[in-house]
Amino acid sequence: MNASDIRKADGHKHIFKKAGLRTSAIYLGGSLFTLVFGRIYTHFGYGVTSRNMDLAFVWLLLGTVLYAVLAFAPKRAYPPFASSVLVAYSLVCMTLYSVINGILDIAGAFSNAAVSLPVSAVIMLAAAVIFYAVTIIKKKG
Amino acid sequence: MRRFFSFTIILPIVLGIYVTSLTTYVMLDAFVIEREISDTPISRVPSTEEDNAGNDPETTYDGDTEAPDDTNGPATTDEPDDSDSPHVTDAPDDTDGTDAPGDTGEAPGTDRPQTEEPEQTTQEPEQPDYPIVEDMYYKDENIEISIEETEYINENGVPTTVFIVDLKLSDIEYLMTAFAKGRFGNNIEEKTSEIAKANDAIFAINGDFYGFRDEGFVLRNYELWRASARHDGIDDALVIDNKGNMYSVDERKYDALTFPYSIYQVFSFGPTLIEDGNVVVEYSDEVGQSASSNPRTAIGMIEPLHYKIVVSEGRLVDDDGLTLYELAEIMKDEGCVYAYNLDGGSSTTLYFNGRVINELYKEEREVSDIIFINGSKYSD
Repeated sequence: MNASDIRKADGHKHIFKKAGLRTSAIYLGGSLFTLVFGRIYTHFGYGVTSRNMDLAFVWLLLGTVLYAVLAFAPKRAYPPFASSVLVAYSLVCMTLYSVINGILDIAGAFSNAAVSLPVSAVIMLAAAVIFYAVTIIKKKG
Repeated sequence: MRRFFSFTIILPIVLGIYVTSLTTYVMLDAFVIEREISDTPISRVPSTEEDNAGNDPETTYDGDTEAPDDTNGPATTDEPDDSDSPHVTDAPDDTDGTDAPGDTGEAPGTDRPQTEEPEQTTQEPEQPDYPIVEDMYYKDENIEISIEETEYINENGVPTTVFIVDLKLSDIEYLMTAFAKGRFGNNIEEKTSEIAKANDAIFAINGDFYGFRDEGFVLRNYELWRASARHDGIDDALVIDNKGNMYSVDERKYDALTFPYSIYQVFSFGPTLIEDGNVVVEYSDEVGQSASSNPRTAIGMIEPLHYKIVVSEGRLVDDDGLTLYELAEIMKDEGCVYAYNLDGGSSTTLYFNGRVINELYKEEREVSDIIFINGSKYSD
């Protein structure tokens, strides 16, 4: 291995760390936005509260933690693009599910169709895990 | 490279469209799409023991073996059949009225001696020209409604406008219920005042807003529309039987399909405020996740066929609203031995003689159902 290869390897590591932290920051921004939205919505709800709305920000916070960890993980642990997108939409679905349930709680309504969101989230998460596993196996092979 | 590029674009776009569509559908399903659950009530199968029960209020039965033949749903404006009621105030054939519901006095002059016929020096008392309709008062041969506006000052010195409705009936079937647009289902909603006008109501309040959830007993005007019990913490339902008794049942322990045919109305909101003359809510109790002080609607019983309805304002600058405990205290002060909380907040609406009486903190809310008194046969 020559010096340029070492620099290239370090460069790739730097890129993944940068991408991981950037993605983590985006999730954090989304989580904070959800938190603020929930507080404002509850404020105009005449004191009617909803645990779903209060905790909706947690889902995107999970993404923040996930990508912050990945940023410092070995390169081979970094998920492929498809997995990243599917995980992102999975967390978005769960966040929307919490927010919508919060709106329904405060408005005094319900929707049986809302269950389609967590179901979709689970399917996307499963697909993300499958893509990730396939990628890992291919790399090892 | 081209394939990779297109995959990186297409996958997020497709998923984005999918999630957006799903979210839109869920919101439409929750707030817009009307879903008529059923156009016919559910058949009940009361047990033989309940059918033949005595005077126990929980199993009162008037001897009929079938429910009234009314398959057109609630909101009927037919005059109730009060021929079996012990409180009939229809006068004898001379059509004289009586002064108050429940009176069964004889027509004057029936006890005079038969041998002579002295001149009649006594004049027959002047009978009122029913109905009597005033700004906050209504009276006819069978119904008396009086509304009093008062102010409640809470422990923080903040006032709340409270309307106390005193309701006397000669037969419980004058206290009717109606669904929005005459249909049973979700997202089928109308303003209380509009439902009231459609049913020629002289008086109306909002009901239990059955349509905001998919469980909880719904039995209206002797017809059972939903038999699934609630499991969300407050599980007591208000039952009104054909004798005018009011009491609560625990939905989790009761099978609505076995309700006797004597059960006239069942509402599913709560909690029960007063039972056997005692306040049964705690100082800190509240409905679900609501704030403590709210506009409220509650109904209570002093005795069968004599009721109190309390409607309070709230969420206004000069109207704080009531807590459940304060509401219960007011009902108890009014002499109620039983009281039950109905839907409140933006649903709270008191309608009388063509207008909404209570001040609303925002536009009148559309609701699933109302409780009303019909005055159509007396309208001009």
